[in-house]
Amino acid sequence: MSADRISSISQGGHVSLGEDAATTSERLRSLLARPIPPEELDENTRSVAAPAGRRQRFARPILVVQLGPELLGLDVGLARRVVRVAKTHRIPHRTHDAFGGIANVGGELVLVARLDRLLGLDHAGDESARRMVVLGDERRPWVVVVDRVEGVRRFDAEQFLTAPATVARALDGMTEALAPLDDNAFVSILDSSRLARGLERCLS
Amino acid sequence: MSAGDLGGFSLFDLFRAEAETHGRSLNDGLLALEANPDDVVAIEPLMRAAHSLKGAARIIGLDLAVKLAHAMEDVLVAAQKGRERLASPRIDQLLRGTDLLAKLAAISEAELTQWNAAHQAEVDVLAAALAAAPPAAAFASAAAVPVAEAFTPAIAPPSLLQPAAAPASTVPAAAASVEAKTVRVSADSVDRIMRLAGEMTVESRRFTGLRDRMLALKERLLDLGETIERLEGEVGSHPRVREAGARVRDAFRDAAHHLAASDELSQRVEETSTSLYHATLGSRMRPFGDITHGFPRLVRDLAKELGKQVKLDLVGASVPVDRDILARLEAPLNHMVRNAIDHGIEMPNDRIAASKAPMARIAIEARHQAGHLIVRVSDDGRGIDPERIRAKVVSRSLAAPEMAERMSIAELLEFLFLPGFSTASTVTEISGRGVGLDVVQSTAQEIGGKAAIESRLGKGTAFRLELPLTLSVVRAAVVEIAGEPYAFPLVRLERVVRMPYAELTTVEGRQQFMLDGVSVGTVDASVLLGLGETERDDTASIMVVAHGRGDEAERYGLLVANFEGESDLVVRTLDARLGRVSHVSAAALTETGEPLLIVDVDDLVQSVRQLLSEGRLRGTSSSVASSQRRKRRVLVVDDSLTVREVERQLLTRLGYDVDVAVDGADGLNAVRQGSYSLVVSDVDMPRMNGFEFVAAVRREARFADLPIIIVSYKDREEDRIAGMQAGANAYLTKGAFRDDTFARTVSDLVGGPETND
Repeated sequence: MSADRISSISQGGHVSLGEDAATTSERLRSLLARPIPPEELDENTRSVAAPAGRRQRFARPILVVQLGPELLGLDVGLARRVVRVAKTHRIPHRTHDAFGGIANVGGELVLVARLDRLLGLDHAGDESARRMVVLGDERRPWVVVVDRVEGVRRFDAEQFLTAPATVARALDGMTEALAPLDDNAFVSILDSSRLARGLERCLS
Repeated sequence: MSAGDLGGFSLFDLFRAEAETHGRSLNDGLLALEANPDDVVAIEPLMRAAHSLKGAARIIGLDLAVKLAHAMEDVLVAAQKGRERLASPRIDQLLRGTDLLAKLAAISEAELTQWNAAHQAEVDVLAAALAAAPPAAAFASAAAVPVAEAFTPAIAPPSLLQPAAAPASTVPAAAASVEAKTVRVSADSVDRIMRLAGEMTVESRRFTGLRDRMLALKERLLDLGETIERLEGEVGSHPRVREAGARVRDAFRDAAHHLAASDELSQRVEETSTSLYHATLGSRMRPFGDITHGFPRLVRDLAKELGKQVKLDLVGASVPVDRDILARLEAPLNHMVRNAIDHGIEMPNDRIAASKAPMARIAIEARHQAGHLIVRVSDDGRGIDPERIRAKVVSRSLAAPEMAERMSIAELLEFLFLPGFSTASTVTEISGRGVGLDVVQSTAQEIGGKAAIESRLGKGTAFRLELPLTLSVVRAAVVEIAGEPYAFPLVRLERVVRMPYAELTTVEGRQQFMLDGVSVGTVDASVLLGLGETERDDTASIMVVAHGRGDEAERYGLLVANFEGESDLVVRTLDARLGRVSHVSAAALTETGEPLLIVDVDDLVQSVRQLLSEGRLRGTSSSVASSQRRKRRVLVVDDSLTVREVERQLLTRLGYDVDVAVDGADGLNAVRQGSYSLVVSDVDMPRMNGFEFVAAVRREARFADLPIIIVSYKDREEDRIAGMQAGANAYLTKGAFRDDTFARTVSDLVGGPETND
């Protein structure tokens, strides 16, 4: 997948690669205030004419968080809530390295997993920026601590790069794909079911 | 059949709820009618109940239930119109019908088809019998066992524990109207509301912090105002300075005003959230009568079967009881009542011979007393002969004859709670083998209460249960263990002791102290919980717990880092995914909203006994010796007993403490549990080989620096490389035991056998 293609799509005006909502709406306003160039009309026609499934793929909402030196992407279907970091209480005799204990999240006692240890990363940065992310369905929730929450971004799944083989082939690898950002950076999109399995393993 | 979803309840659930309510009023009403067959007014509510049941069954297509309810309704209509007088045999039929409907309501939706098939014939026969002329009242006089219910007026409950339903009224016929005022809510959602209410209380306390910051702001404004006034004095009365001064004073007044308003608001929010919390807690309460409504029927049927005459008094049906306790109480209560009818109460002739009324009396009473729920089941039967118990205690060698001779009646009656200790000479259908009183006691203890028996020979027997008002709140000692809050329920604590460490003395190097003339050895709670040793400051905080009762009890002093105080905790169950957690019974929140764990004291004490007897635990030793010079521990992982022994002896001779594991999986467990300075592992092992084991240990960050030596017969270079790649610090062949290579490697990696950590 070439860099040209990425830029051509992002200039197309309907996709936001790493743009936040404010710039998008600004751009939309300026779009409405000028005549539509024919290329853009074509592009939009193609986009609207594309089958629904294809169009949905264009904008997959992902919660982007920072953990240590890496940017991680969590499917918003999996990452339900972001909350302040609450104190974690260890559970005696439960010594799995990636199991943290329980924390009071909005009045509920929720199991805490160490995403840093599941992924082999070390926490970094200002502690005040840290947040807890509630994962999983309402009946079996988990929380994990991340160093910073970037927000929800929409990614074009067609632009995803495959994860390196050392991760993709690894027994405990969790990355589904890499979503490229500008300036050579990328977000590691975590595979929801592999992450869920990793979380369950914490209880063993 | 449709099973439409109605707010989480299926139609069958709704039918079930209706069948329960109407079934109960039918049951109660029929019994009242039997005692007073000419009370035509009492028939009408029964008719309505049968009619409603028929309608409900028709909606969900339960044809069998429709047929039955219809036949019952017909009989009741006939009775109401005076066409039939309801005699005891007819009442029996109606009660059988009620029972069938109750059974139907108890099954799950999936079992319906099967149930229909199994009960088709029974319903047909019963419906036909109901449609036929009333059965001859062959033994009507003998069967006329009047059963009266005497509900006392509601005892005023403490304000915290308002009953969910209005107090039950005095006539069973009115039961339906009481039920109408209650709604069915799933237990889960009540629990969730309660958790949120608890969170609300915690959140509302945060206002205090905010208030303090606003107060500081007000002070700063005051300060600023004074500065400007001084400035005015220095530079003379400049209009701009005057204006600034006035504005600051305005701001100060506003701030004071807002502060007062927010004070009032925060106080109101805190009060409201506290009331909300208590009200939610109160909604867990159900009237005691919820579990006793079946007893009039039980007593009637049993008495009839045994040819005895019994009158049942129910007192305190409206007393509010936590629904969890209520659920646990039903079986023991049932047992005590059966026991009373079967063993306690004499045959009418015997009673007359003993100059008692032929009609015996059983009373079930519930009341609140000093923050406890008291449930008393008493009878005026033959009582228990203490001499028979004394004889049995001796014949069963439960106590020496001379000791048994000195026992008081109360002490002797305690023996009835022993499993298998029965004074009944015959085995009966009614109360089994007379065993089961132990269940009464163990249930009471499990829910944090106690049971006692009082009895007077010839006069009667009474069982008295003293129970907590709720299981959802527990009064506990909150402590700190390994930097985190834990709680010990007060009912399980003998004493909380705080004393200077210096006053602890030792026996065989294990610390102890004297409590009321008894030596109590101490054990570090943190070590028991697998959280490392408790750091010591000047004061030792010790939770004294006991195993067993009375003078025989073994006492242990559990050392914790700090005793924070007593608190009422709202109990929350641990996440089911955790399964059973050793030494922990539940969780709760501290006042600041932090999670804490409630210690399962019985489980902890069991572990202490077990570990002591296996030599895997010493009591805490004097702090100097323990914290300053400690032996380093080494874990040896090898599936060969011989190699294990060789390595163990060698390392022990070198002065290390040695633990062993039999394969990689076992080893990984051990590494996670214990704090080792070194691991020595074989390669070829079942379940998890040495390479896998070392790699697994290294994957856990906290063991990144743990020295690991692999010792193997495999001496090829690729094996060595594989071992080092897995993360071993050294790879030795088993020949290393012949010279000092092994010993030297060990000492290079960890230093000497003793540590100052």
